[in-house]
Amino acid sequence: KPTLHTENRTTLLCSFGFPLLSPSGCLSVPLFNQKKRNRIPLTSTPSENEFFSHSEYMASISSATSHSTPGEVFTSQYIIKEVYFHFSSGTGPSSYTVRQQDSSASVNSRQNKYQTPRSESAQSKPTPRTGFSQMGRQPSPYSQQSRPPLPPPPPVPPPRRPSAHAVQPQKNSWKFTNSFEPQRPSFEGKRNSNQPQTARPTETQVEFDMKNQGAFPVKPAIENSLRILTAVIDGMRHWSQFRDKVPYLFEIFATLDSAVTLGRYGAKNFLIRDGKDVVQCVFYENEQVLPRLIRGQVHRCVGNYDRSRDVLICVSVRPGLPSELRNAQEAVKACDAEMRLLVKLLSEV
Amino acid sequence: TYSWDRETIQLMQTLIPKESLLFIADAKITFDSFRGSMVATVNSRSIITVNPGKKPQQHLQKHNIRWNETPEDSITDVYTVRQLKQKAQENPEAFFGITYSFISKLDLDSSVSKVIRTRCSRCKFLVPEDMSCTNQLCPGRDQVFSAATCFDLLVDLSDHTGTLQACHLRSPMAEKTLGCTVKEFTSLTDDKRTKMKWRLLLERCKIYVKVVPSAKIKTGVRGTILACSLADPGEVKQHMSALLQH
Repeated sequence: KPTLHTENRTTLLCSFGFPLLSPSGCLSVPLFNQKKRNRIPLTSTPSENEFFSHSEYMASISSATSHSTPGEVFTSQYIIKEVYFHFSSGTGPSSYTVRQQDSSASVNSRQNKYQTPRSESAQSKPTPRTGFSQMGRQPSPYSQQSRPPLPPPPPVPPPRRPSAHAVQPQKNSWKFTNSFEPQRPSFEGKRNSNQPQTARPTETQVEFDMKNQGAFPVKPAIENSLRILTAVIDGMRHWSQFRDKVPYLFEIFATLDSAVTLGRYGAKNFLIRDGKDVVQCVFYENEQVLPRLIRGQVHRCVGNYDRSRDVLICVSVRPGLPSELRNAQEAVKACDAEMRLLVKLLSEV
Repeated sequence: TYSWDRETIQLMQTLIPKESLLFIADAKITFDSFRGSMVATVNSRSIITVNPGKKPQQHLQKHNIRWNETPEDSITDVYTVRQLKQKAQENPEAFFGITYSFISKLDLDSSVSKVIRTRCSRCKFLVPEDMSCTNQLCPGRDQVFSAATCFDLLVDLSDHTGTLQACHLRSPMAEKTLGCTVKEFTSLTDDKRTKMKWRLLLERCKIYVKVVPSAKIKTGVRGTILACSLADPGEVKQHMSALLQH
């Protein structure tokens, strides 16, 4: 069976596999694991997203899922994304390879003491995706204003047999057929020429009754467990646009730029600044009292950035140590590199 | 080693498997035809020292026998969380490593049973409080039950590559990490426990970890913390630079 790197979504994807579909192709098991339903509402605004190549069909998904409750919209997005994942045929197993392993994972152990894990998993071989390679060479993305020169996203070809009946959940009808864009011949050209076009890997997970079976290698490869990213304020604002895909908290080192004021429900509000960027912070004294903060001094804030309100909801606030400040820059760079990789992976799904 | 001496037998019963170190002088070594091997027998001339001091330790070191080595001595490989998980997937064997990660879950101020457990003194099995040892093979089964309380927490470790969930933090590593004994901990107020929690929670730490691939666990990986302390920012910087080089 293919291995899955996502954790929250494992239950969703597995339930999407073998036991789910009866021979006639109809669903017999509910798709949503009610206990694991993620309650983050749909908040992404695809047009702001320079790096998302599937923003076009995401918009069409939103309309398709209008029947769902807010809680379910989020999970249904994932279901649909995975289905798209299966339907975009032809590029072969390698296109879904764990690309992230290529750079951030392969740390050498030469003279220094860092470990070299194998950069390739046993089941796949990373193949250069020349179409997207430009992304890897971008300078720090949040300083860019113009759209990066990416090729147009591969449109998702519909299966020969409409799959609407195959994936209909028990309760919601997704109007699946509306969401597919017609197959364009240009997509053929995007395939890596090394890959056999009709590759049928032995580990086909989803047994749709479709004729144009390409490869269905299921290696979503996007780690879905919580991450903690060290960032600058500008970077935090930029990376937060992907927050609904992958969960993360931010660690920010910035200068206290206002007095601490008392807000509603015992909230403590204050501004922090690094360079030219300022962000509003809020800290709730649920478990700890806010320590005494000194205006003009650098503090460390860890929390969740609320993009819609442009507020950093802090769960940990304290003065920063001089040694931390000196060294934070490097952590920021490493996290940015990781995020660029992640965004690239997300855009490939 | 075999012995028919009552005193020696009683001594042996006080020893803790995998923990007590014995220094035995003047043991009689003979070939035992029944067992088909050399055996050491303790007699009235033998002297047994339990958990001896320095000299035997040096002897052990000289012969490259590892004993009570601290993790800091021998573990040098640094991993991100993802690298730990990857390596666990690729190798069936347990391995050791260092990670500079944040502690993202540390429930010190939730119910005490999530923090402290009771173990049989003889065999180290977890037991429900005040009951006798349930281990069939416990060497102390027929005797008065003796239990020790110890720390036994589950901790999450997170960095920019992901989270390693449910890592074990047990005695005696927990005492060093938290800076208090079990007894001291149980006498703390909730506020003090919360304070202790926030000293480490969401702080970047240097964590020595043993990773065991496990099919029994959903994540396929079981981590055990061997040592944990707040990370030195300079070391973190070195680690980050190394990551960036690749």
